[in-house]
Amino acid sequence: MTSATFRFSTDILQRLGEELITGLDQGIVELVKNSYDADALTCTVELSGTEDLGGRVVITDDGDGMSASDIRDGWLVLGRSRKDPGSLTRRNRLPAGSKGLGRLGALRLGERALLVTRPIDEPGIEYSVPINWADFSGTDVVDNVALDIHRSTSDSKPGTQIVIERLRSRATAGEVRRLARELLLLSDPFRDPEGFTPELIASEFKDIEQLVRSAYFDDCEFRLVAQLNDNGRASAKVYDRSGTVKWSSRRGDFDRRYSGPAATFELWAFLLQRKSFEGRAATIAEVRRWLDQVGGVHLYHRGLRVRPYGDDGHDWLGMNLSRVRDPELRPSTNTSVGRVTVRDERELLLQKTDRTGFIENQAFRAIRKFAIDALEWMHKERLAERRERETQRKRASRREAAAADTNFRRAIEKLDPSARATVRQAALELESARATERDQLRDELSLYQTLASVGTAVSVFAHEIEGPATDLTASVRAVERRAQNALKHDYESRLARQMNAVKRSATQVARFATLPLNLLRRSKRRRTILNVNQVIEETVTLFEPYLVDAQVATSCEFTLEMPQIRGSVAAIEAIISNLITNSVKAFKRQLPQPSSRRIVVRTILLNDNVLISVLDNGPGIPPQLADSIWLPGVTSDENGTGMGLTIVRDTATDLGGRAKAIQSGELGGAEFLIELPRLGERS
Amino acid sequence: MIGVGTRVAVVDDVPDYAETAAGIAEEAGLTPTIIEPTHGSFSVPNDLLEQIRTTRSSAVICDHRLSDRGFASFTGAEFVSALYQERIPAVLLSTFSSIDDDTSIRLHRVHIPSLVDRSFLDPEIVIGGLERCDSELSGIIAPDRKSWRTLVRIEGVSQESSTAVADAIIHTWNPVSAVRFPLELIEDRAIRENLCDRDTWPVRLFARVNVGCHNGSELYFQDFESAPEPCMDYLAS
Repeated sequence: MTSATFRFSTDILQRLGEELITGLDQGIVELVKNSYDADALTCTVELSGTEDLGGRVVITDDGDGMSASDIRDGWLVLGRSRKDPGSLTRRNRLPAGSKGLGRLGALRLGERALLVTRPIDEPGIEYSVPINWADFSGTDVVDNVALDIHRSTSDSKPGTQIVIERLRSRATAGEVRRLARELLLLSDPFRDPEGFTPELIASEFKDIEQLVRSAYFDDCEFRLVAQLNDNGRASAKVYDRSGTVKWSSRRGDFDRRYSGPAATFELWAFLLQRKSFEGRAATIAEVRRWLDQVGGVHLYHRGLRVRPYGDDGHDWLGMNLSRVRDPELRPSTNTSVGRVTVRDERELLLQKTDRTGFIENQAFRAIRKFAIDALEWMHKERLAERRERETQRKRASRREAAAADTNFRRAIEKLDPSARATVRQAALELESARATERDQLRDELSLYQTLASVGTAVSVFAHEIEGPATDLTASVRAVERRAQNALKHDYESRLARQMNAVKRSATQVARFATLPLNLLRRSKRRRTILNVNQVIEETVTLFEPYLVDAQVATSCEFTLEMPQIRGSVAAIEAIISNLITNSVKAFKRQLPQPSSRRIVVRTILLNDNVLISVLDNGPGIPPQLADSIWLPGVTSDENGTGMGLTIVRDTATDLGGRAKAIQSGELGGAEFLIELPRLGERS
Repeated sequence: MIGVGTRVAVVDDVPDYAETAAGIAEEAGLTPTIIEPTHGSFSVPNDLLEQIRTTRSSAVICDHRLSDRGFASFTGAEFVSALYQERIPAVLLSTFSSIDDDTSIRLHRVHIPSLVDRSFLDPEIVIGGLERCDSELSGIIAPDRKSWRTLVRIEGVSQESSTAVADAIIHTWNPVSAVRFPLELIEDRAIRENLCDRDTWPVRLFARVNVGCHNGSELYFQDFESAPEPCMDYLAS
């Protein structure tokens, strides 16, 4: 029997090194983490000549150093950490648990590397290990290259220095800035209990250091502190700027148990508005610049920051997407800074091999969920606060009105008797006019509310009916084809008429089913630049089945120039659809009926305005309604809401225009004119 | 190749609609099999794909909304996109007024050459749709499906249902009408987050877009990247 062992080709160094750790900054940070594990207090990274190929990086720390056996059985062993991840170091740190792959990646950034280390347990002794990567290219397996551990004496203090020479690539300015930021954030600049301060000797570092260490925490509007305990239970508090507790979570606010390690989530949220910064030392611009560097929620695991959480472009809690839903009350990564700190004694969080964050296992998902839930909880509290504020405001305005009324009455009492009667009468008239106006507004509001409920119900039913309606169309056509095949020449005489009638009805049903959904599309409510002709044409097409069914011939007469306005599709649709349905309803009550029903929709350009006119040959506007036709609830149709023309008028006003009605217009029936401000050629 | 006798799987969460689609496929000379979930609902596209493989179908007709009645936890668009990547031709069925075009369908539109309005479903359209997809899978890209790097002017972002969406003008396609697409299509998180967090518009990006298509619902977007702000110096001179 012969025995054999796995051996590794020298190619594996490239696979595990360069291909896992791709950037200079990432590699160097891995070496700095080793310094933290070695209980260093300071760690200096010096770059020289790195703006060109062949540069040099020196990383020096004042940690515990390594003995020859530490080097042989730990530093040079890949894939295993020599330190027990569960036990504390001399300085009470939990090792970050590097497996050596990041170190390999960093060492291979250059053609040569040199390790010089002085162990704390062997005063006066220094070990050094030179590595020349070229030695590995001439051989098949890694084990063939022997690395010498040199022993010498030294008076220097314990610590480790790693020199990487003849760098294979240049360090871009962006990489150096990233490295500076990464080093500053690495050991949690929010607080520094471990006393570890990495430093980069480069001009970029000073600028960024100044910015990062500025710390505008006191200028935050509120601070969220959420705790996840060892039993998987969460709780949270929000503090205001003075440090007073604004809200505390109650039992049931976090109703789930999280299967992750204990963690703390803190978030400082800023209100970047001029008003909130009045009278403060810091300016909005300063805070913005600072948040630009440190903003986002960072994740600290065992005292060190784990990339890429909180990095630019890595919004791991989805804060920015959530903010779109409620920008006023939700913080984004640009308006807040935060950290989730996890000690994780039981090593539930597992870093990915390429050191780009954690594997998304149950423990990681639990931590993320906990932080997201804490943000949601805070948002609910802020919503409740806003509601309460609105209620208070309403109450206050009622109180103010009552007080003003009392003052007014007292003022009248002070007048001489002759003036008193006149003023009283005028006040009564004013009050009566206001009451009428109030009632009118209340009616309008109530009708809008009713229409909103109808709209919601229509949308639900339309969604439900849409599927069967479209399937019906396809099915009817399938039956028709099969019948034609089966009956051949007899089809025309036996089934064609009935089948055509069914087809028409099916098409009608499908179109009516889709019409409300089309009107309700959210994108139509977006304010943008519109070609009025195009929107009118689409609206008329949308209503075509309704108009055909009502035997109305509709034509569009458009100006040849492009009439552009600023508004929403929904607004123009509201105008056109209400005027069209208004005309169709008028036709239905017309006696005697005209020989043909006609609607013309026209656009013309009038100086700086677009004039939309909708004309019909119906009965015209009844004289008794001529003055009140735009008022809510006024209608000549007993089944109508009386809101259609009110909506037309309101919409035209919202668009900066006006609406006018002619009792008997060019075609003999009603004519409605909507004048809207037009966008100029260059607007 | 799609032809007489080609086995085709029909995926629809409403049995009656599945029957309609299968009947039309039959008329087209295809051999349809209606897919039904064997164990509750399909949770990932791969489960559905596995079941389709057991029917030895070489093409698929699939409805877009599969989760309304608990048939699957994913959309038809997501599934058809997965089929495309497995090189299986498919036609996606949707309804005329569906808002899905701009959101859940647009998200996968790059891998959906054939989207058919359900009410227009007939044998010719089924065959045409499957052939169009098959042809694209064999490397023949129709002019309206070919993408070009172009400027996309983002006019704003908002929320549609639970999806963050952007409205954009693509001048090379239509300088007047804005097109909506889900923000998720922008792979670069930094760009995405920047859009979510800003108040001033427009923002210009580059993307690959099939600007040769006629209808806005046919547009697909990929490879978004930041574009430099236009130089306005000439305005000062």
